[in-house]
Amino acid sequence: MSKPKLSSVVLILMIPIGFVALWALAWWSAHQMTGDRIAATTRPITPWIRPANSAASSTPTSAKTLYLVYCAQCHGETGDGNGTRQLDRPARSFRDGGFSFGNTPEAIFRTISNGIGGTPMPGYADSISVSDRRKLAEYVRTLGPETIDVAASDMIMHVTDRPRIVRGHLPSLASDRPDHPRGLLLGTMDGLTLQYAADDVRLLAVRQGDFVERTDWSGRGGSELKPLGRVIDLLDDGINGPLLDLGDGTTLQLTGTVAGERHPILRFKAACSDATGAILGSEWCEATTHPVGTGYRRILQLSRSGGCPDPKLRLPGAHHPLVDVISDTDEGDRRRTWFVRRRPDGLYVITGVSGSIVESNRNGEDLVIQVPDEGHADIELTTIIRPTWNETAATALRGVIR
Amino acid sequence: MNMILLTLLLSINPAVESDYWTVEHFTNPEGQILEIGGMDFLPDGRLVVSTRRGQIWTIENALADDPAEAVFRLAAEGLHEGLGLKVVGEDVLLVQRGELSRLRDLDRDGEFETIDTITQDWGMTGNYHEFAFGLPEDAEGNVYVSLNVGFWDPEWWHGRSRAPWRGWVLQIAPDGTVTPFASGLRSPCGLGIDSEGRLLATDNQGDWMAACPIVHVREGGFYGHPASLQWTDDYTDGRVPSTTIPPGRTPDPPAIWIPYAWSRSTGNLEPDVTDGAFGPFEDQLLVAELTNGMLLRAQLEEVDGITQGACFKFMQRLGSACRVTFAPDGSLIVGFTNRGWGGYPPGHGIARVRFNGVEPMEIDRVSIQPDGFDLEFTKPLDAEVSPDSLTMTAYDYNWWWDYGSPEQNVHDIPVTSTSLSPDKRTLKVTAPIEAGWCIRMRLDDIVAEDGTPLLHDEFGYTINRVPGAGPPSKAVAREVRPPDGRDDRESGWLRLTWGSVFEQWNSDGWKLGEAELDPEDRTRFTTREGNSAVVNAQPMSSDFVSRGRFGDMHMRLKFMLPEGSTTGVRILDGPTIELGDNSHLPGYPSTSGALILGDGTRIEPATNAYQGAGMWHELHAVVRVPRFDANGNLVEEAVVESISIDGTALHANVPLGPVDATRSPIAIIGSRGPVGIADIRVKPLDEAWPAGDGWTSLQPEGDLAPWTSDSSAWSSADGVLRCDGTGAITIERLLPADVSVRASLRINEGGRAELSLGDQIVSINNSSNAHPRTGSIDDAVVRTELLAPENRFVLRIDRAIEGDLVRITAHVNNVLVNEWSSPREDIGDDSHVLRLKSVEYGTKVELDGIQWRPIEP
Repeated sequence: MSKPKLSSVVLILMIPIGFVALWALAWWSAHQMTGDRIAATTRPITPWIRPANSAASSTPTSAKTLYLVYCAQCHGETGDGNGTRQLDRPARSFRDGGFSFGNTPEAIFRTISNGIGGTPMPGYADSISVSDRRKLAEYVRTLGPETIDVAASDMIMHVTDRPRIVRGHLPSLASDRPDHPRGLLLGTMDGLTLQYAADDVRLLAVRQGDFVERTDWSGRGGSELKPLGRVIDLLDDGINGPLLDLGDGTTLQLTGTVAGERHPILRFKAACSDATGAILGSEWCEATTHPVGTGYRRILQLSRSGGCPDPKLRLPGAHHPLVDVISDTDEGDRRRTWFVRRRPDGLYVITGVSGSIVESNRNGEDLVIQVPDEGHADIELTTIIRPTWNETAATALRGVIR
Repeated sequence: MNMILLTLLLSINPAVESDYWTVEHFTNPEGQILEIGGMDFLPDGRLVVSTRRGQIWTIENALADDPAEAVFRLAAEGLHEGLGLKVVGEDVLLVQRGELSRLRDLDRDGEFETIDTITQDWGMTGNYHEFAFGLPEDAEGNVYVSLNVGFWDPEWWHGRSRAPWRGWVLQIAPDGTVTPFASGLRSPCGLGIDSEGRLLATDNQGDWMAACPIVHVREGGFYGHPASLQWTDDYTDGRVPSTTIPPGRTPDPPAIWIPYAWSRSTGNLEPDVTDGAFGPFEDQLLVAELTNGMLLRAQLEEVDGITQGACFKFMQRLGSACRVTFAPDGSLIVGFTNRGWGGYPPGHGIARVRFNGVEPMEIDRVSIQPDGFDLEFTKPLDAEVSPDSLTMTAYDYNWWWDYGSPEQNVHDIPVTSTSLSPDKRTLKVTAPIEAGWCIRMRLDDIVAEDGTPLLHDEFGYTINRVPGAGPPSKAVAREVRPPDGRDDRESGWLRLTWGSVFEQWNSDGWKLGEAELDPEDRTRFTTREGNSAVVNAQPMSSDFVSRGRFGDMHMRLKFMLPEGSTTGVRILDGPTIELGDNSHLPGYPSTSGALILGDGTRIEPATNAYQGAGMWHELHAVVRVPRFDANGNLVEEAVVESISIDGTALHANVPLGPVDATRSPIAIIGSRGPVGIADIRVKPLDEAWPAGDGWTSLQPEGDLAPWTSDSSAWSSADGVLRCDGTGAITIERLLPADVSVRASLRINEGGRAELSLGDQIVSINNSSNAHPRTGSIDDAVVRTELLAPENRFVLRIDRAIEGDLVRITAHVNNVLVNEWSSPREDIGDDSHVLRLKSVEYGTKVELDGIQWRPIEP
């Protein structure tokens, strides 16, 4: 008789935490990159509210209770993905065994902790204790089929416990765009796939979802890979060029990749015809959330090797009409300038630039990066795509200007 | 008969490879497919392999006594194929399809997380065949990469170089600088550097590559495939090397043309520098061969600065060997891959070959002399060798655009004398040899002084030069007038199993499907749904007998046997070409290609061209029927002009003894052992358009007359009737009831036309689907796709009234392919009308002859 009593007490204690979690979910679901339900009527201060009663999590809680409180609204009580909350896209069904971001307890723990950028799945690092997150990860795993160990011979490659990098022939991204026999896919642990041309290190598209099917393994080989994520940003539009401009005859070349602990890192060399030296760069990328929406963030590090002019940053999409420029926002970690452009498809691309930039043009056309002789320059490029741009959104962005 | 042969073979007690070398296959990690593309050893002793699937595996304890102790670890994945690998220091260099990379494990966790791009400095169009291979390192630290040409039209295998350096070997300096090094290659799957420092490449036979060669790659060299010349100064004006016309540049001769019977897809090669740990063949090359699943041995020498040499079988039935590398302990690691190309099982994985220390009796080296060859053996011979126990055959090849070249101008060379050196190790063979030929020599009854029988009794030698004889008058692969085109290749052939497999055959108990050796019981096939083979699935299957009866003919078919099976192909109602597998017996004494005459006389094939159980082989036979005079007296005996398996000549001009049949069916024997058969074709060699004997021409002269037409699609010029579009031409009141009509014609791909005798329509349709095909008569439909489109053929229709029936038969190229009969009244009122009609939009028909004659009842 006493057991049900205890758990009902626990449940009551958990309500505030659950409430916060629900609120966070609501916020997330309102900020979809697909964006047809943007509801930024009030500016959220921050989604990462520490629960008022964090002491509650110190009470031992069963994994199932944790699941019911935090997860079931979206993922369903049985983990079938049919929760009570309405989402733009159905939540993951654990019963089917598909975990975009890994099925090891460690990978699920990480997903619970960090969330999945660009989806309604929030991170719970600040709201659930480490031990409870571990418990939850184990529990979520039991909802699926036996285990989903990813074998090296499986045709589908998932990003599980570490970032993944795949080289191969990439299919064309649109009917008028070429295929890329030398292609590169970087899979991040937060569910993004960065699709690059490997011969000039151009970012072609950003995808979200599962990683890649290695279709080149069948037949006599040599066929195209099949990236599985949906395209959330198409950069291969026939106009976007290399990211850096050093002057006449600028070339970017891949110099390598590193499957780092947390990020897939790409390395490149930028050179031009009238300099003996070069700019050496590295880049990684992750999903990001921002008060005006969700998107992705490219982190660049540039260093100098020999004599070479400072490179200009060529923002992808800079040829689209500029709608708004919001300068010098300060989001705590760094200051950014935001360029809002309207693409031909009607969506708005909001590009935030921060780092070692000497800005010489307010339109974002001549962003010169100061690369020091020693050490390196840091650049961050944040891209958010949303269906509308209005005063409310601008206010939301300006709201963080100090 | 067979038992006697087997007893004989067993009594010799031949040596077998496993007496000297032991093969152990590693067990792949569970569920994993390791299609090996590159292999080397890390400084810490781990074996590191790259795979076609873009994975890197490291293997600890690869050299342990028990292969089960090997520990596999996935060390990298997601690479764009890995078909060449070299360990340099602690780094792993890897050729990916699009780049040369350096793989490093900087955090020492066993995974290569850091991949540096050394260079991407070669072109790719995205064509599937643009593989990149490697990766030997020379003394200066340069590495070498070889690049395939892409495959495009007109046939799927035509090599073209549409991006820089396809068909080249590239030299890549340690700083990543790429130097295009040599050209003229097609599918150079294997590179290696021998102990003399020579850079060697193997290639795979196909267009402009007569067979699989081993090439000594020199800077600036050109080895025969013209596509790669695109990137030379000769083609800077926008021209593209022709896919059919020789490029006007003489290829540098390959050092060795490997006999096609031995190698169909050659992998890489590595010199034996194990100081005896791997056996007696110091400094010689071990060569991987994929399709036939074997290892070959090659030995080079230089004459007048030109490299050439000998090749030998080393070890057979190993698996689809694509890569070999020597381990630090002197054992040989073999990597298997057969993806998509077929090959001897297993098609993936790794094996280790160890020498067990017992010296084999082998031909160690062959060195060319002005007057023959010196053959050095690994052990002293027991006695002098008679010239009679040596068979020396010479052949050359066509250098042309067609896919590979059969051995050409095959002839025996008399061995004039033999003499043994005082130490009994060197046999001097004197014979009239000439440069520009490949030699195949077989040695019978050779035994070492200690009684050890010779392990491999055959070798091949490519003579680019004879010492002291100066430059040769011709190359082994001679430039020849190329075949005219696809039409010519297909011309005259009847494809008797295309489309509808059984329709042109009488058979019972035969089944269509995919056939493979049963891994549980290699003496039988497993079959599953498919359409690649016809198999005598039931124990009491009938013979598989053609409905058509053939006179002089060229016949070809593909066959595959399970272990121990013997069957045959019967021609001329008697003589049989035996198809026999004995690969379960020591020495693999195949009987495929033996000819058994009607009286039981057995003629053994000149050599063994048979590869083994579960492998597809192509059999060709050219047969001439007997000729009799008007009184029935024999004028010319029946003869087998040639029999070959996989391009290796087995018989030439064998009289067949007493044969009565002047037309006879082909029969595959169904009641003996199991056999898989595919793609049976016959090219009748008798006159397709015999003159005289009452034929009346209906060719128009000038306008269409005697034909009438309401269609502008038909026209006539230079005696040729043409139709472009749809419409009919007709001649009224011409045909008697018993009549023969023949037409010599061509129809385009997708075209469909009809020749009508009164109400009865005979179809002309070689390629259009869902319609009755050529030879169909009224409702007697032919579904077999007998003819390739665009090829000229002769269609003959005979109509005869026989009692109450009308009987119509259709012959294509003189072979009966269909017959139809019906009550006499079905001939209708218009029986005297002859009509030609094109019925499909886009049809093009050309008739250069159309004639009729009455048939005497």
